[in-house]
Amino acid sequence: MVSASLALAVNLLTSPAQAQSVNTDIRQLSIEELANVEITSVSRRPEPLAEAPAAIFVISAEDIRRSGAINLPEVLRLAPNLEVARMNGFAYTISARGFNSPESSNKLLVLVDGRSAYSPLASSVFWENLNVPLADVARIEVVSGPGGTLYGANAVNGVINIVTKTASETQGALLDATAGTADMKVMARYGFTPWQGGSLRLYGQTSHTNNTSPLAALDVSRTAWVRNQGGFRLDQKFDGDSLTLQGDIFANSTPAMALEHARGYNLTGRWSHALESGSSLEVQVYSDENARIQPGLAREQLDTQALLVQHNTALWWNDTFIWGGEYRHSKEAFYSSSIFGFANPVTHLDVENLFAQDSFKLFDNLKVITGIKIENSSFSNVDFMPDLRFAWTVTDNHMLWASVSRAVRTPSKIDRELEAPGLLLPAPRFHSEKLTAYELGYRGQPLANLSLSVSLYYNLYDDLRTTFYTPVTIAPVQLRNGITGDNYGAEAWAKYALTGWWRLSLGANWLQRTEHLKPGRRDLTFGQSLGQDPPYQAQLRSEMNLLEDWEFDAALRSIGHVKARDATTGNTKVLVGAYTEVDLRFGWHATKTTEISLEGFNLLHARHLEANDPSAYAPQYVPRTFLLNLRQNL
Amino acid sequence: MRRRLPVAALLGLVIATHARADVSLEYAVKAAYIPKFIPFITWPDNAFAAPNAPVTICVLGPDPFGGKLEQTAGELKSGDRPIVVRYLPAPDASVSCQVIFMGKGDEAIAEGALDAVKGKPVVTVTDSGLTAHGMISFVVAANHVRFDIDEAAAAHGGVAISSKLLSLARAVKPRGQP
Repeated sequence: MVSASLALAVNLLTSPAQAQSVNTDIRQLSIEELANVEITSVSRRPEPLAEAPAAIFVISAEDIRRSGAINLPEVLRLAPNLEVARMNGFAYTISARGFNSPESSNKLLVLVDGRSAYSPLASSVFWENLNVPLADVARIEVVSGPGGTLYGANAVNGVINIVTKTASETQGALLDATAGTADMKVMARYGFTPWQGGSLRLYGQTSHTNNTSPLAALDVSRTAWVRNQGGFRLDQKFDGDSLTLQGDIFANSTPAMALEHARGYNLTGRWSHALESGSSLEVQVYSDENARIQPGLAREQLDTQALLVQHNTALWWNDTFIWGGEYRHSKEAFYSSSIFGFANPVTHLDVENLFAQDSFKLFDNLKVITGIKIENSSFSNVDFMPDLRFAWTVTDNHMLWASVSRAVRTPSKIDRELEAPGLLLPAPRFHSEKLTAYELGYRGQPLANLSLSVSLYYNLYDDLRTTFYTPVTIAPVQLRNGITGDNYGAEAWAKYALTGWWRLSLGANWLQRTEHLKPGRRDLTFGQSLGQDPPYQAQLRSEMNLLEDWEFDAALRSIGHVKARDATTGNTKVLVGAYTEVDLRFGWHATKTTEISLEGFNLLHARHLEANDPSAYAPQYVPRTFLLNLRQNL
Repeated sequence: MRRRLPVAALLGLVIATHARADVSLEYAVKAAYIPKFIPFITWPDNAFAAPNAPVTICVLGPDPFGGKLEQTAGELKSGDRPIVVRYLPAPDASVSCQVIFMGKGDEAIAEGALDAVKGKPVVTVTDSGLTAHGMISFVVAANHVRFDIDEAAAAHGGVAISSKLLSLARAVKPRGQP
């Protein structure tokens, strides 16, 4: 595994022939980042990572620390290829390349150490319950664009891959305590070596986030969020084998459990085995059970067990061939007390897939990656997700890439089976939403101290969700696959090291959307499944190391206004105004084991609105907040 | 032996085989480290010939960095002082060094050089694999280049190392320890 931070790895070459590029890039790394560079080349033949042909933004552990963020969605604001909107005290909605809203952000797959955090029941990610201990995160890889060929269905517009540190990288005790105007959080971790070749860490964290103020005077919902979570990770190395066992357990709730509460646990086992032939085999199993309860409204229980097998090998002498398969079983139970519910509250979902991908050099400077995943789900028919990518290394410092791929969003229990007597009929014929994506990108180092990534995409969607009358009735209505879309856009980011102690990062994205109803189709909800997206987002970050023990960081982000059609009247209006906000952070390394930092978030305004879709929760404002953080290694 | 890295897999980069150390990468990392230590180190004024004299990094013996150290050093400054690199085939008392790097060549030469600058404001950096340890010693652990700091030796030489750098070290031998 090439586990150098991908921020580096994006341009990292392990080939001595191209050492010049390695060096210009390594020279820009901070001491913290240098400590994370893996110096072992694991490619069967040296493989330049600069040829990675996709729009990847990597958030390093150091980026997370310097963001000052204390929860995962706030960390994800660092990625210029994501839209992150906070809805209230606990809820966030996040997407890539459009479709952001609580109902429509169903095209982004999220993995934590290979375990899916995407709910197949709701076609969504419940960010408030994805409480990864941030100090133990090694890096977060944010890929915008389809990832279906290796990741499977629902990796339509992007994949977020969260990789935690191994237990051997988190030895010793850590206390990370934060208090602020709207938040409180305490995390403690202890890592040790219980026996030869093994390492173990244990952690616990508790946090409280305050209520946010409502947009509407009549909204009395209390969205403060209390989270308690603990977990462990055990890594064991044998000769040529490594074994990992990790798990988490949590219980989260709004005050007095009035609006919402959730609890759950997960357990993952992973075994990697190096084969004699120089290839490797990996097997992963996990079990993930969690419950979400909205008192008086609904209760859902989602239990998933999965088995993944992957074989990395070569078909001929200079290629990389990966193939494997997955079986996943989910038991989905949803009990509703409202008129919207399920005739059969318990469903079993079975997903099986097989995938293969080969990567080879057509010419010395042209790499081809091609693959396909075939996935069968008991909820949809067989879906094919092929992918073809080219990486052209123009010179050592410049790479151009292009891709064409197909991805699908498979139907969920809600799409297929949700019903309300007299209002909504189940939709057994609702099928997968499809995307064919064309991408073009550049990545390189135009200057020794400047790295740049630009990606352009053209996305053709088909069979997006609509709501309309059934052929034979006026009411009730039924979900259908009635919209096609052609969206295009651009993403770009750059890192510029002005001096050894001052680094600037710039990022932006731009999205242009058009959608059409298919012949004979209409949508009673006026395109609610298309989401609420700003046409542009931009951010500028500055990181300074002042004196010897001080850090001063600033971040400016500017988000365009969100214009969409009202779900009931169909009139186009501005739902969320454009906004610009600033975050500042002072950090002080008081001693070699103690770090104290003061952070201010959203400093320009007392409060601002980021999302306005009442389908899930009443819209609420995001406040200005201050935090004081103490991080003590023992 | 190694874990799956899904994104790398997505990009067709993963093939886990017998690990093979990439020497050029290891020394590229070390070459990036050394000049970056300098902002975290405070020398007494008498360590320099003039207020604007450069911080000199001396590489003792053969150059294991293939010239990469100069590239990093050239991009950095320590306050108003430029950072320069000099190559010394053998210990040379006539050259003013603020940092001296001892590579994996001859153990005896490294030990001799360490002795020669003991108690002087010269930051000694020793390569991994050497028995002799300078104020900063590189360590290759679990495929990563890390470093240990001997704060006692630094204090003895009148050199102050900031707590930030100490916090990044793998291990620190604190002041006041023999």
